[in-house]
Amino acid sequence: MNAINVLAQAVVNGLLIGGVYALVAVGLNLMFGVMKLVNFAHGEFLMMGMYVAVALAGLALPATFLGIYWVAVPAMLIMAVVGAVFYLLLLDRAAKFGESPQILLTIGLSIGGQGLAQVLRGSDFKLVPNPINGAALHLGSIYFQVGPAISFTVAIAVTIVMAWILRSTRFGKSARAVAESVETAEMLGIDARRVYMITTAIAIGLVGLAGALVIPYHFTFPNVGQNFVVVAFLAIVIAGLGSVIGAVFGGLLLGVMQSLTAAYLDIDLSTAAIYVLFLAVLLLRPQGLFSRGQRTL
Amino acid sequence: MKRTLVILVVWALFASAGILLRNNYLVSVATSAAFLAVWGQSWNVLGGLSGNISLGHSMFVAIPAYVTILLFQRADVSPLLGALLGIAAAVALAAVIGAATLRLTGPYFSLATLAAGAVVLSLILHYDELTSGPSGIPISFAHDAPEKLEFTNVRAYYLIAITLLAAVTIFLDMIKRSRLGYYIAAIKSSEAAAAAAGVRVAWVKVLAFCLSAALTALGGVFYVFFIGFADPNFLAGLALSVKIALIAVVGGTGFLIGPIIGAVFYESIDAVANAYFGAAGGWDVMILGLSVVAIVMTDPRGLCFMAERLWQAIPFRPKVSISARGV
Repeated sequence: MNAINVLAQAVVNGLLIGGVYALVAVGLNLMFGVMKLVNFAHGEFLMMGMYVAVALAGLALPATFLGIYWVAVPAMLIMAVVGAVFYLLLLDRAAKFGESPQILLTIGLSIGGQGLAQVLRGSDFKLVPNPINGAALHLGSIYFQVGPAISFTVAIAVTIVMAWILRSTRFGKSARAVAESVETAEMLGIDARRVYMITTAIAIGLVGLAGALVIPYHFTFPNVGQNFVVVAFLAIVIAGLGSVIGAVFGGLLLGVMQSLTAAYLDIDLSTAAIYVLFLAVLLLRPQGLFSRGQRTL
Repeated sequence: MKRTLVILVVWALFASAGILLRNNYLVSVATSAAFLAVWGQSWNVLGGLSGNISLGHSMFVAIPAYVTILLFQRADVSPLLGALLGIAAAVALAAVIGAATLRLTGPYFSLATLAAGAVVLSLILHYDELTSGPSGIPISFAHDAPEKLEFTNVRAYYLIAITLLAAVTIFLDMIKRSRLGYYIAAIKSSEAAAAAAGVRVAWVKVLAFCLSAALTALGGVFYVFFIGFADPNFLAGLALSVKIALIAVVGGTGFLIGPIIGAVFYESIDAVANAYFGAAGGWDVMILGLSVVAIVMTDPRGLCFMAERLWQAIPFRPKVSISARGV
C-alpha cells in the first residue's frame, strides 16, 4: 500500500468509527443545549440500549442481515420511553438542584447502572452471531467495514432529521425557545417541562438506536458505555456545548483523529491524542469550533 | 482552637482503637477509608470551597506515587526525598492545568480535568519502558524500614493515614478561616462580584487547585506503599477521580467532616456488599451508585445536611450543635 492509500484508509476508518460517537453525542448535546445538564449516565443508556437490542435480536433469527437490524427501531422506541421515565422520575426534581448535585446524580446513575447490568446480565462479553461482523466492501484499494458504514449512514440521516425537527417542527421551535431562555419561553405559554421530557426521550431514544447499531460488530458488556461516551463528551465540547449539528462534526473529527494517531503513531496514544486536541480547543476556543457565540441549538 | 482540640481527641480515640483492634482486615478497610477521606478533604479545597468539580484528581494520586517508586527502584532515591519531588511534580502539573482550565466553569472545568486525567493515564500506559505500563509496579518488602516507608504491620499505615487525615482536616479548617478561604468563598458566590471587590480570581483559583493537588499527592505517596502495588488503571483511573469527588459531595461540602462521613459511607457499603455478595458480582457498584442517586434525590446537599435536618426534627433535643460547619 502506498502512502495515499494508508492515509485514505485511516480517514475512512476514522469517519466510520466517528459515526457512532456522533450518534451518542447528538443526544448528549441536545440535553445540554435545552436542559443545561451534562448527562454523565449517557454511556449507561447506550449500554442498556445494547442489552435491549441483544435481547430482541435473540427473539428472531439473528444470523441474517434483517435479523440483526430489525431491532433498531423497537430498541430506539423502548429507550425513548426509558428516557421519558428517567426525566419524570429523576431529572424533573433534580432540575432545581443546581449543577454539582446534577453531576453527582448522573454519575451515581452511571455507576449504579454498570453494577445493575453486571448483577442482571453478568460481566461476560456478548456478541450475537451475525453476517455483518467482519464483513467489508472493497472500493478500489480502500475497504469499508459494513457495520460501521451502516452506523455512519444512519448517523448522518439522523442528524439531518434532527436539524429539520429543531428548525421546523413545533417541538423544535419550543425547544430552541427554552434553550434560549426558560423564563421567556414559559411567559409565551411554552410548557418547559414537557419540552424537557420530550428532549430526554429523544436523546435517550437516539442513544438506544446507537446501541442497536453497534451490537453487530461490538461486544456488549456492563462497562461498554464508557468506550463511547467519554469521546462523545469531548466531541460536544470541541463542537460547542449545545450545538446539535456541531456534535456530529465533533464526533467524526475525533474518530478521524483517533484513527490517524493509531495509523501513524501508536494505538496506545490514540486516546491521548484526542484529549490533547480537546484541551487545545478548550484553551484556544472555549466556546467550541462550531458554536457562534451564545446561541445554542 | 477548640475545633483543633476536638480533632486531636478524635484522632487519639481512633488511633488507640486501631492499635487494639485484632482484625487486620477491618484495619485495612479503615485505612482505605482514611486515605479516601484525605483525598476528599483535599478535593474540597477547590471543589467544596469554590464549587469547581474536578474529575481528574486521581492524577495527583498517581504522579507522586510513580515518581516516588520509580526514583526509589531505579535510582535508589530515598522515598522520603522522592515523595517531596513527587508532590512538587503534582503541584507543578496542577499549576499548569489550573492556569489553563480554571477560567472555565461548571461542566467545562469538570470535563477538562477529566480529559487531563485521561492523558496522564494514557501516558503512563504508553511509556511502559519507564512505568511498566498496564502491568504496574509491585513494591515488595519483608522487613520494616521506616526510612523507606516500608512497614509489615498494616497498623503503621493506618496510623499514618489517620494522622494525615487529622492534619489535612485541621489545615482545611485553617484555610476556611484564612484570607484565602474568604477569597475562595467569595468566588463561589459570584466570580464577578469577587473580582469587583479586588480578589484576583484566577490567581486564587490556581492557588487553591495547587494546594488541593499537594494534599492529594501527600496521601498518594503513602497510599501506594500501603497497597504495595502501583496499578496505573486504579491510581490514575477515572473511577478513582469520580470516587474522590463523589465522597466529598455525598458527605456534604459545607461540612468539615463531610468527606470523612462520605468515605466511611463508601467503604462500609463496599465492604458489606463484598462480604455478602462477593467482590465479582457487581453488587457493590450497584448499591453504591444507586444509594448516591437516592441521597441526591433526598437532599442534594449530602449526608451531613440530612443528619442535621433529622437532628433538628427531634423535639426536646439538648442544645449542642453537632455540626462543624465551616463557612
